[in-house]
Amino acid sequence: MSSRSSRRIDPLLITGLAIVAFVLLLGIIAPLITSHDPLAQNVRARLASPSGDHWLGTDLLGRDVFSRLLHGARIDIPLALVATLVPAVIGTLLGTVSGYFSKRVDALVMRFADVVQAFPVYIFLVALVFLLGPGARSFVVASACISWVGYARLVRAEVARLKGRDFIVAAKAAGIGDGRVLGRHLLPNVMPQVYAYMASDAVLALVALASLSFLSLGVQPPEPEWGRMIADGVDRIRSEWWLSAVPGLAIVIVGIGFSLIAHGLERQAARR
Amino acid sequence: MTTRPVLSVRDLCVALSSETLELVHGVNFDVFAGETVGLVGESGSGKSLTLRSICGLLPDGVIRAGGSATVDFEGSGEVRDGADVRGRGIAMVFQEPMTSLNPTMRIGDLVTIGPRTLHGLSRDDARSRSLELLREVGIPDAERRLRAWPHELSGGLRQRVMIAMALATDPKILLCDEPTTALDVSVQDQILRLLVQLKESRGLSMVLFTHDLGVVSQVCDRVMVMENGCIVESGSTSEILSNPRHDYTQRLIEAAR
Repeated sequence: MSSRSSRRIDPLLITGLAIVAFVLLLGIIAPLITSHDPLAQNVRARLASPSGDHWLGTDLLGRDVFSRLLHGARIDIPLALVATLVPAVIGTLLGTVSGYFSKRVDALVMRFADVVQAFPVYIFLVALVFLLGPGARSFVVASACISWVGYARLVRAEVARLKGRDFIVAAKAAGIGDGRVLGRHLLPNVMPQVYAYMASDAVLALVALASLSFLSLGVQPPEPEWGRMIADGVDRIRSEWWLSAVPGLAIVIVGIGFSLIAHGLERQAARR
Repeated sequence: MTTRPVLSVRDLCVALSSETLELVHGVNFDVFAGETVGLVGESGSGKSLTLRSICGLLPDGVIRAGGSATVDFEGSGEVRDGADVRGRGIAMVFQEPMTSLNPTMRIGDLVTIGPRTLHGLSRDDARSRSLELLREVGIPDAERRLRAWPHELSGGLRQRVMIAMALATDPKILLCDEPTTALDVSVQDQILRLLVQLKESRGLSMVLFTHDLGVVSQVCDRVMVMENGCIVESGSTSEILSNPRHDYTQRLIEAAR
């Protein structure tokens, strides 16, 4: 959007974006950096210590951990983003309708939101994924069913707060209809908060995906998903501790990246 | 004179929708072509609600309980409700120039939001139209200001932008809600002069909703005084100011001294 061009971009935002982009880039160019196939097993070389050939050693099935770690970025980051984007779109739409239009729709949407929020997030998530069958798609669908609530509440409150504002009344006075008032005048003032919320939600999505995969409900083996890699290494935590620690560290780094983005966006939104 | 009024308000009542509490009780008035009318009253007297009710912009929880506000659309004798011709036959200038401009839009885009929707004006045409309007309301360096954000302008300039926005669709009637109240005294005068000048060059009818008798005495042909949701006195400006009959009017004049 052109509206940001005249404003300084927050340094935290840049740092966060750089971290996430860097890790994602490592994932994309993984085949160029490492010559090992992340799925190739070699039972004779299992549990090898880090060496010149295997930078981070090998796992229980003799797969190269460094290669798996890099390829994991291709799975975890995009999935976390999709699992953030889908509920964000649904929640923003429902929140807008709730906040702007009829009281009846508002009551319906918000009661639904109450029901969803009545359950602890992880229990609900695990239950839904269990129902839908394990896998990445179930994770995204379950996230959509749960996370839209936050967006709907946020957007509803913002729209309701803004719709009586002078500049909205002035826009209506200029003779334009509801659709344009919403699209051109209301939502542009709400979206910065939504973007900030999305970035902090992405942290939760990332951890949720890893947690589900850890419980064998997320991305299925042999895909090199970080949560799955942690689970694979748990039995060897006393000797080959890096098997679990390294993918854990990757999650932490990307999570920090998303948090910084969220913080930067929040500060930028607050400055206006 | 037997000319038809351009704006005709009949028995207009405004009430809270939740309770049966009436806030404006049966207001009647006419505005004729080329006339400037003042509606005077302190805050809470119902003048803002009257204005908003005329153009169908009442806040949530408040409704028009009865009566009508009709506009002689395009002088054709075809009478339409004020809310239907909002932005076309009738336009508004609001009190708070600091908060009445969308902070996420550039001035050039903001000024022509009306005609872009109502007349389907193209981007290029809208740009030249914006430029024309900004010049008409006396904004210096208009070319550069097209790309400015609202927060980069002073209060007086923002009020000029608001006026440009209101004029964008060539209305015949301009409703001004406390157009100068939020401005510095020196700027107030400039804005008032601009309004008078625009009224003459465009042949507008104007209604000024204000508490400021100074403003009224400068620009209005006729005055109506509003108290507790009723019009208590009306007449020509000189008559009302020199010889107020209602004691509320007398008190208003006292207070302004």
